[in-house]
Amino acid sequence: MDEKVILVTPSGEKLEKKLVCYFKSTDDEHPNIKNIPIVAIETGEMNGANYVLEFFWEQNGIYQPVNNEAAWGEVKKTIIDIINGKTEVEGVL
Amino acid sequence: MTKVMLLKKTEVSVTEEKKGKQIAVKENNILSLKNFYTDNLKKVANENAKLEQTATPTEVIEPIQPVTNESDLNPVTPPNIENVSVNNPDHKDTGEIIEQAPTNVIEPTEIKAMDIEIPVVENDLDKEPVTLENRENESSTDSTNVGDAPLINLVPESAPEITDSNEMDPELQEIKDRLDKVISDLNNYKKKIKLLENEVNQNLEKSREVLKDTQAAAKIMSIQQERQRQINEESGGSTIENDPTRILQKTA
Repeated sequence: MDEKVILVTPSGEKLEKKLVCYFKSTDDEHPNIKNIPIVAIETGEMNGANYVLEFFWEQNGIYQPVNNEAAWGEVKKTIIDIINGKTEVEGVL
Repeated sequence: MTKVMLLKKTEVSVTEEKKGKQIAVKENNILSLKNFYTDNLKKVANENAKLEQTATPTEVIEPIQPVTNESDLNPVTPPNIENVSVNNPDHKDTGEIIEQAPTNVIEPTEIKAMDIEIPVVENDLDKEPVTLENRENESSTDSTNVGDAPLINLVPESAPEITDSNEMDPELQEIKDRLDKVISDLNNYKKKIKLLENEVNQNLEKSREVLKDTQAAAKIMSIQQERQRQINEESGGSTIENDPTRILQKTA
């Protein structure tokens, strides 16, 4: 059973999406995204045989595209670590 | 090891832009991500439930109270029996104070089996679009366009090493050892509690016997006192001063 998350736009539009992962890195090695909530959702689109995932990070309470290159690199690194089982879960908020 | 906290929220506010940064991943990798998230949420919930269960070990010791209750039920409460309680550390029959079971059960961090063939096929919408010529040169089929947003294969060669999932990870081994030790400790505690329960039951039995003896002694004493009283009453009318024979003797 897929986890769901609803994206609410400023105009009040609600979009239900399949939630892939919702986390924040607490690692000092990721200074640009440390303690910033990041949500990964399925777009429902395919890239060839692959699934396209979309990422938003929280800035001032609003989730928006990760528009910082260094931060985006750290997000991708975290995702790779999760897939490879190289992640330690410190808790759930 | 990257350290993360998982978050739970059913609704989030997004910008009007609605479209975030994108990457494309293989099906098994998306499953890994989903499983990582849901499994760990469940795991933490289970841990919390276990902690709640282990947080009330003193309730197991409650049954030791009946000694006091029994004396309460019985109207005969001799002074030396009244305060008997296995909870009273001053009493000679109390024995050791029961040791409490540990409340913190160490749970191992879950390490997922790796089933990754190829790591994330990463694409970045901000990079130059892949042209047809470029794509023909690529042996991989990972990079194609997603709608209007062209994706670029970024780091297929920087694939993280895949370890053999059949090998016992030393960290996993260590966790297993710790878990074994915790289980062994728990079993020892169980044995200890059993022994203490037996001891408490023996003490209870002893206390009951003492109580019976005391009751019997009190009964005997009461009968003796009653007899003494009767004797006194009987002899009350014939004391030396009131003895009519003595009066007669005096008169004579």
